[in-house]
Amino acid sequence: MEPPPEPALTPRRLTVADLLRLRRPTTGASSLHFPSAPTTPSPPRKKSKLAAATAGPTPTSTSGTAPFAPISHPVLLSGTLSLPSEDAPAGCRSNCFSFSDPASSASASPAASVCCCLLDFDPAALGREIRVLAWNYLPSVRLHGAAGVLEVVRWRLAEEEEPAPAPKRSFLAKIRLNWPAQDPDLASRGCVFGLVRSVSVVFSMPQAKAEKRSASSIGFLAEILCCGCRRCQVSPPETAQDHKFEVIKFLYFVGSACTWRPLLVWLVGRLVYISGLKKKLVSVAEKGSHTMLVSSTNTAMAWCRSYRGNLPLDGSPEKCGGVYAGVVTGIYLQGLAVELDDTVWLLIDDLLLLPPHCLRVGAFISVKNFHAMRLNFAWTGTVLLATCSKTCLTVKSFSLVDSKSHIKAESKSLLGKFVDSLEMPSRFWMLLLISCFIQKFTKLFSDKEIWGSQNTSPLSGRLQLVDSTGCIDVIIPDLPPNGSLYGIYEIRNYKLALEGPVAYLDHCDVADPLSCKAIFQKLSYKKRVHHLNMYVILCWRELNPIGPSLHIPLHINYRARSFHLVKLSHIFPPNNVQQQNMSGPILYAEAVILPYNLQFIGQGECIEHAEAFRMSHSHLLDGTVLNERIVCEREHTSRILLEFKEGGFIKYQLLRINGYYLLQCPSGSLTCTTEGCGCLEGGKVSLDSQDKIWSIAITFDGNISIKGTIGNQSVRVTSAEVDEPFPRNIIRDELKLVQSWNDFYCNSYFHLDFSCEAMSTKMEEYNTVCHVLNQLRASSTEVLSVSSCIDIMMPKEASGSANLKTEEAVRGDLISVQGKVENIHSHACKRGTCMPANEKYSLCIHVADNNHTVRLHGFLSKHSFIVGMGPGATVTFHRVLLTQHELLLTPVTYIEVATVLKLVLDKSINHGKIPNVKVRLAGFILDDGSSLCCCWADDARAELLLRLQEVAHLDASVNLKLSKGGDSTKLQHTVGYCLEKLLKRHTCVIVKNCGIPPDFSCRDLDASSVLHKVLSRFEDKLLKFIILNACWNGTLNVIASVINPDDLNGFNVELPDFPVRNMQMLWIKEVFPVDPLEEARRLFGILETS
Amino acid sequence: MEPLHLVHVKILAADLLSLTVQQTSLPSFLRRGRTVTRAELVGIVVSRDRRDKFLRFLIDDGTGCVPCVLWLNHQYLNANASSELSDSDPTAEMALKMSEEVLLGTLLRVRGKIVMYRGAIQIAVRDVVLEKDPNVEVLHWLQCVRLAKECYDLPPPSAQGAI
Repeated sequence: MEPPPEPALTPRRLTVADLLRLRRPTTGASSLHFPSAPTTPSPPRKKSKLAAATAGPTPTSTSGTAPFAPISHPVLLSGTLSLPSEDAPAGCRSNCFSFSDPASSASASPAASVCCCLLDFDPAALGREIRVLAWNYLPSVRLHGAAGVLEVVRWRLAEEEEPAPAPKRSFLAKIRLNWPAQDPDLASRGCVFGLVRSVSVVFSMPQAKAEKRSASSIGFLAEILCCGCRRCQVSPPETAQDHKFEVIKFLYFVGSACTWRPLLVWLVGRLVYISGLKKKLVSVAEKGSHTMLVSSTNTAMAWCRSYRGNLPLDGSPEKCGGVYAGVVTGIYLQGLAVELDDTVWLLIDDLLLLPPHCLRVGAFISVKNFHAMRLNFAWTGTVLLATCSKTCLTVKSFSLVDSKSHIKAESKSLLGKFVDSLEMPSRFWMLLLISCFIQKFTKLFSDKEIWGSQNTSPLSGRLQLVDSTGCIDVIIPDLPPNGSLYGIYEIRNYKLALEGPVAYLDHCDVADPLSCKAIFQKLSYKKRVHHLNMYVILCWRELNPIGPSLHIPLHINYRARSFHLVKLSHIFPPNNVQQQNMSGPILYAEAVILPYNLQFIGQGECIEHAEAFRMSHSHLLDGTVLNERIVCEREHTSRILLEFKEGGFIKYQLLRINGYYLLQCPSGSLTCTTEGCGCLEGGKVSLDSQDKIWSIAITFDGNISIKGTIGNQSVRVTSAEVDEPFPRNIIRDELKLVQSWNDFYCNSYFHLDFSCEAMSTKMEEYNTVCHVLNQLRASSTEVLSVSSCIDIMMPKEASGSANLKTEEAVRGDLISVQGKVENIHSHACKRGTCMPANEKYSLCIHVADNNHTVRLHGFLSKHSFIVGMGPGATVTFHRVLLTQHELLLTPVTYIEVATVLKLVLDKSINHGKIPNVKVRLAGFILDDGSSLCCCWADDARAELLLRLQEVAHLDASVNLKLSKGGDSTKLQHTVGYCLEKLLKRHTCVIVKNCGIPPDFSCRDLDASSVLHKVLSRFEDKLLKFIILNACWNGTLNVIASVINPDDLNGFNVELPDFPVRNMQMLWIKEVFPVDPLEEARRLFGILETS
Repeated sequence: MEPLHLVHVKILAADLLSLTVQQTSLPSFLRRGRTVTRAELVGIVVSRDRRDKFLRFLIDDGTGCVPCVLWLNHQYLNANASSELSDSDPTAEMALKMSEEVLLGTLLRVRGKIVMYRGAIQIAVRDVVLEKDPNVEVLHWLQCVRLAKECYDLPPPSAQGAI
């Protein structure tokens, strides 16, 4: 059983009814600390990492607000998960489950329930009580309207299943459906066994006249690839191996069963056994009638947990198929047009296809079954994913950066009906057109309800109203002197003031006004009325305060002396955020707040010459004992987003995942704690060129590793010890702050060194610090090796030796993996599974450790391609998707190059024999980028220019003749050596170029022997090779002097008229390779003085 | 005769891609009024597409990406010649060898003719040199600046003479 939590941390119980009272987007968790390994044998619910963490860095606002307010204490939310009720709105019925308070017999009123979306859904949870461990709640947009949506990030069953031994687990797991009287017998007459291929939208259909109740029936179709064998019809199958899933059958889930759609959507691609189906005759217009399987009150469903097959790919691209997973980077026209990964447009224009509530900017979604097409407009091209009635949208990771739910208009205008009648590409075009018209003709401001929080902007000094979409200045004539400025207020009555010349009203400028995104994007009013002063006038007494007050710091104070310790958990690749914001690019990283603060203590107010520093644990100040769990658990909960604005990019580039960093605390207080100062509560810290971030390195006698004996995990320390300051004069010998305060402030790192002697003599005193550091270090080994990856990907039985770490990761997780790059090549696209996209390349990267090689597939943007990531480099790939057979690069994948291997070639070449070749004369045409000149050389200079010292890389026929041994024992010869052998036979050869320089072709070369012997094919080839090899050379420095062409007469040289006759003739005195650095310095000096 | 006509102009991607194109029977390229036909670039391979008869790749030098094509169809060109001639021609083998040096992420020096392909400027590669010292990139930038100042941006000698 789970040990009882700390008394102070007992989660408060929260009911669904409480949830419904929340008025702003909120996140909560049952514990603010998650143990690194589950202490109970709960079913493998996995991926806390994937959960809230993968929210893409695609905020729509830059106002500095966090859309979700975290509940600062642990809350326990438990309730019953069920299929949606029949009277739920159509959007919820199609996508959401229902989460309700456990029914209590004492209460007569119906239990409160809320729409719910789960990550890692498991049918076993249906109809049972679950504990929600981490969640986001979005209240309804309408203030007093319907209930909102609960997004469940982590959960587990309330009562644990008996851990049944593996072989006893049945092949098919029954799904509890909410039929009042369900026949438990799975073997009924109409049944199917197969793979769910697609699920239609919910639609209503008029029933035939024979049906007495003429009301239309509501339901949906599921397309199932069934096994046609007789055995399946007789009894529930025991295994999938003997069955072939080839026969397409359509199941019609009608009436009450139409609420099963969320379940069936989850089952797409999975193996199911459905029984208790009725066979009905349906007539399709005039075309005839077919038998169809229809759900009945006896319908029962079971699914196969162990099946790992793939859906066969559908034929032509015109057909609906394929899977695309990506991060939502924009939602426009009330959800009609959704932009994914900044490149692909998803068109959700089917009136019946209602997207899930969780489809928000920043969410990671998966789209199954669509038509993909490439659209080429005159000015731009894009990839369009057109949805159809078979399309399924599922959310794989919720967004934390956007709390705006985009609800589709349920009724269609005349224009909408017209758009429907168009072909798909024209439809997208029409939408672009409509968007242009809306922007052209709409009134500048419509009647809009504003609600947000007030804030005093540090920049303007003015009062501002801030919500997740932006901010606006406010003027409150009757503002009381003691009014709370940080509350959330509903404002119903306000006046909007615009000041400025009218001529500017229509002014709008966008970076790329013709991109699809710009056309869809309703330009923010602030942008539109660039030259206008705009503010809202409202009355204090008419404000309606809602929710708790919220302090959101916008900037970090400069004179801070107190620092928070954070550990970097992710760096978002820059490609995701390019051109997202009008205000310039912004880069993001995610960090975990560790409960330690660092404080510098100076004399009085002056900290310029700090005399001491201390590390304090934010939980210890109230007397709590430090223990291991606090450190680990906080790891997973207190996350902040670091935002690097333009000018702060250099800091972003210096960051390392799993590195520790110090952030300044804006409060000058020495007694502040992580919770007390509240400066990180906003969930986001913006860093611009002015703000600093320090990396922290702690060494022990100059060594990074900490000895095992120090920092014993069982050590119990009191707050007094850890909080004790380390004065500078004492620490000199024992605990050494390697640089002075001023250095610390100027540089970007903080280096603390403990001397070994001090460690042994003052063991007691430093135990705490060591303990803390050990904890920090222990939690930073989350990168898997290639072998561990392979262990996870292989079937379970093969991974007997897998360690704890690998068992934690489950297929489908985003993991970090490190290895040596063996090969990188572009990867051929399989139709339907990948999309061609601008600036993105489909790649396959082979990564290996000593034992195994694993392949990483996916798209990599040009911008996220790291220099140095070539074969031989040791590279860490963060956030790659672990699947059954391979690792996939995702849009949030971040690549870190650890070391670039320097390749030292050391081949045994027969250097012993210096080729005894004498080049009497060789003519070269040199190109220095400004002009051509004709240079002549002999002996060593000519040898260098002809590259006679290099190893001959002649392949196939040539090499066979050159070397006598087989392939493995092949001797490699220098070009000069080959030439020497040739000259033994011919004494002297002359090669002339009959072509016109600088163009060059081997066909223009004419080689002849002075002995008039015929040159063999190999000899001819060798000579051509030497010349070609010399021409295709790198850069060389040449020192030469002018000569008279007549001096060459003795050699019987024929110079072609053009262009050589006009060139300057030079005699080469010296040839040496270019030292690029030295040459660059020299050139820079010249350019600087010129 | 325009002297720049014959040399490989050391140039940055952004400048190369913004050359003025004169649409004659064979398009010619003008840099500040002077014809250039060949170019030399130094940059990193960011894309690679190997086909039967050619290798297309993109060279990124920090100012832009230049499409390059390295033809690997020499054996077809020699098809009409006698087999003896084509057997003794190492061009195809060496081009193939060169194409193997063009790997993603490597720093290359690329020389070749400036051509138009589907309305865009690209380099028909003559030779590719793998650069092992990253400083060559900086050196190339400086050479581009120096040559522009001292050579390319000056009016051609004939024009000077006329004045």
